[in-house]
Amino acid sequence: MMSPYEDRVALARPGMLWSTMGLLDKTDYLVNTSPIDTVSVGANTALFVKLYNPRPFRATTMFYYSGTTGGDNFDLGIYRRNGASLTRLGSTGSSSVTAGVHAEREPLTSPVDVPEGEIVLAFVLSGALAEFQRQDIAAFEDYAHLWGWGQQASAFPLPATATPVAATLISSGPPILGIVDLAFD
Amino acid sequence: MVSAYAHRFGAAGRVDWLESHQGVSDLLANAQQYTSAVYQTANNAKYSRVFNPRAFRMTHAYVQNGTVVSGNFDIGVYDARGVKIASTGSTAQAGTSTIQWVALDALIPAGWVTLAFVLDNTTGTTMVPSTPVTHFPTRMYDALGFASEGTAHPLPATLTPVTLGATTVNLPIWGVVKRWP
Repeated sequence: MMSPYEDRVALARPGMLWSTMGLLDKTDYLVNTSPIDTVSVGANTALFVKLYNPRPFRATTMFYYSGTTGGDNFDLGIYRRNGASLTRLGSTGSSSVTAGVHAEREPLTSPVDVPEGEIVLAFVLSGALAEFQRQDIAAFEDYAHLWGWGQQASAFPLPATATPVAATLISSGPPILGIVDLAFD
Repeated sequence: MVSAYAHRFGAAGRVDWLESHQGVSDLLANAQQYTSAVYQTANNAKYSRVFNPRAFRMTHAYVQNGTVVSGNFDIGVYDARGVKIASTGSTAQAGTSTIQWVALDALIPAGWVTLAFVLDNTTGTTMVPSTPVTHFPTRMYDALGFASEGTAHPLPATLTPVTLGATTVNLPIWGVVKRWP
């Protein structure tokens, strides 16, 4: 049975997972401004975020909020936990970043059946030039632990198996990314 | 099967993390504001009943400290029967205006669990939601799963919760989490 609260707290849109879901009350408290540009956390360093998917769905597209400066390539992916590591379920593959602030969206190389349970979304840039939009949250290191953010170096393109560690490179706030079951346009 | 209440009381799209106000702090906080406030009654434990949709092995307990720290706290987790699963034990409150972490290894089962926090003095502060006092009925705390217990430092082996009962309650923000990796 669908909870009457699902729309409010986590499933405003079925068939969609995004990095800030379920945190409306937290972001209202913590966020200083609208999302702002930031340079890459480091070439080939991937960021991972743990989420809970309450219902299975078939995903076709991923997105993240890109910044003013383009250049470099990005890769977006989705993982499932496999013991102590993560196994990749799918990814967009390497795609060039388009300059300009917008939701950079890219189809997955193949649709992914996103299972119920823990899911990990991943984002990586190939260089240190392109910008992405981050939530403007000061001293984010502690919240990164709570919100489930991890990182892994030398991870472009996203590896088939990942072993992230606790994120330490997003002290000013995390990127915004997600996965959906509908193709845009 | 995921509970109909999973998203409201514990999961809300996140995993490996349970917090005292998760999913409901927008109801408790005036304009979504948190503020530093003293612990109102020494040794009076605060309980928050939440739904954990998936078992996980926690690595840390935490509390969001306010602008003044003092004395000792205890943070614990209880199962659906009210039996303590684990607790930090009496721990010195340290670090103002920051999250204080305490390593704590325990398996948190799926289902209803109760988070517990107690401070042994009324000088120390924690971050609390800025509750709109004039129109927030005290029974609302009961409905959202909050309760208390007197003379509960350190935390007892089993819960004996009672209603909060006051018109203004400074409910600390605390929780448990499994950190990477």
